[in-house]
Amino acid sequence: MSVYKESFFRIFRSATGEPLRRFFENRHGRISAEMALERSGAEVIDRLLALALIEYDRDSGVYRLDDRVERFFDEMLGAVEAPHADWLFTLIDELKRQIEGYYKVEDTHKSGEFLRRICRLLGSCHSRMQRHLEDVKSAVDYDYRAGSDYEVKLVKLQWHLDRSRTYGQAIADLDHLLKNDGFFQFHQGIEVLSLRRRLLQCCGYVGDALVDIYQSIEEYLNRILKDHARVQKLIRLRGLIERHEHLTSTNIEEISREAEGPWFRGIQLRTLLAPAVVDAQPEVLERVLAKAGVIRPKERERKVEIEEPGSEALPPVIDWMELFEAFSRQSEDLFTFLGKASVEGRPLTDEERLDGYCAIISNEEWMTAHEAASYEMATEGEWEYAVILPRGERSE
Amino acid sequence: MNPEAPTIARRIFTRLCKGDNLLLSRNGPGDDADLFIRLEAEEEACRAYFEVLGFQLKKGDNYFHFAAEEEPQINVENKLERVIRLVKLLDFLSSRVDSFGEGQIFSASVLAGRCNGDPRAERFLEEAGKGNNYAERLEHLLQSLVRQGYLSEYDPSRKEYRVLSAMNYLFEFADRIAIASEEEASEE
Repeated sequence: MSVYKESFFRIFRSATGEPLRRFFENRHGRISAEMALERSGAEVIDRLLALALIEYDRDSGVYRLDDRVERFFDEMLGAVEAPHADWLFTLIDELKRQIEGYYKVEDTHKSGEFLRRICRLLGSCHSRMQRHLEDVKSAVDYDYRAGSDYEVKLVKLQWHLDRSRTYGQAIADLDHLLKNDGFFQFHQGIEVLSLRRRLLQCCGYVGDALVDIYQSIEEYLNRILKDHARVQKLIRLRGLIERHEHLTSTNIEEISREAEGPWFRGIQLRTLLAPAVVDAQPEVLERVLAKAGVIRPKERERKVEIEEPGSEALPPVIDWMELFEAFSRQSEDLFTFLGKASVEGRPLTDEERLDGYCAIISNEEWMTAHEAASYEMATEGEWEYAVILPRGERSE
Repeated sequence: MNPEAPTIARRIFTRLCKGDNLLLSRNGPGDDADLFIRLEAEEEACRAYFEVLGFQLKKGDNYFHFAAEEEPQINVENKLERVIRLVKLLDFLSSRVDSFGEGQIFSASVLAGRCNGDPRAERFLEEAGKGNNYAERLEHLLQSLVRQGYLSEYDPSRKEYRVLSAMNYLFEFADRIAIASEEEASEE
């Protein structure tokens, strides 16, 4: 924690950071003018006073941090320790001694001095009571929230509870003294009356606040115990799940059967899409669901052009099983027909076209079927072929 | 019965019936906290109004949610799977975030640091989150919890998250699970 404090005070200039840290660490003690000057030097003290970071109490002759600055430091660093209430017990004892001294002396001058001391003590008590309460509050909150060790938390909160109770006892003593002591009942000095009234108000306020603090500590203690038990249970449950013993060793199946709420809700279509889109455009809905991860997206489909080409551009399709029928239907322009023919989705090569043509016309069936054909036949070596003239020439 | 529509009915319905976030937390981000206070003030009126429409307004420990009549339920096997996922998630967060619970603020960077070299945490992140490395998987998991309303982004620049009251909904399930040996010990 000290390292953390030191690093925090680096935000100030080196000359002022260190003295401020000392003032903060000794905020519950008494820093007299001599001590302050000896430790920090007059120049630094003057600068801190000018910047309103510290204040000087002329009556008691002590320096202390400005209240706002002290609160800021507390908030930034976290008050880690609920302060002891010893100072208040000591102050009450001192107050009693001064009151006793006031009654004992007969000299008016001396009794006036006692009275001034009593007023100074009451003033000091008033300013410190509020600060002490804030310290207790922040310490309780800090120790509840910080750290993960539940046992340490429990110990610290128990410790804060004890200290808060001691402080409450001291406040009750002060309240009793102010209400019942003869000095405060009979002394009618305006300053004493005013201080007594303010202190009694403050005692009432601090008493109420302490009750709240006791309750919050109790609540924190219960929560910590509950959280601690839950964490231990979760660790055990995880172990059972890993060993696949959760169904036999716990009531997890029963809990699952009865479970309801958002964590267990089935997939339900919740969409801002218009109902018309949901009902009439299933493909849009499907895309939305896929995008949301509700369904698995389909593989992107390739778009196929289905525009039909003109009848002239459409190549004839040859079924190899009915090869002869396919060709025999072509009584004219067989070679031209083969030029347009498509086999297995591709046009015939020149070689295939020629081979096919020759094979067809040398087929016996072809020959029989086309005995009366007007084709002029010719032979060349082993090859016999039909001589097909262009349409115009043939008709002539 | 013809209950008058409470003034916040529309906002409540929109908030609790759309998207992934179906829980309204007392310490929720944005308008949620305000809406929660208003719903708490008009709780009975809203409950009566939505009941007519077939929605039950359910209140837990600082959170609200709807339970619809005839709402689609998953089968017991899937429910069991989700309870197991819930236990693993709570165990992961409770063991690695200081004082993990409603209102707690934690840093994703610190959590990621604690997961480094922790085989249990790494195994959990492999199952629970998507990403190329453990930090990305953790980020994915936390963002998923933000979307479902169990966490809120407290300081995005520092990757800090706040635990919302809706987390109590998950804790309630964990609290209801009883371990046989513990029960026997408590009976003895």
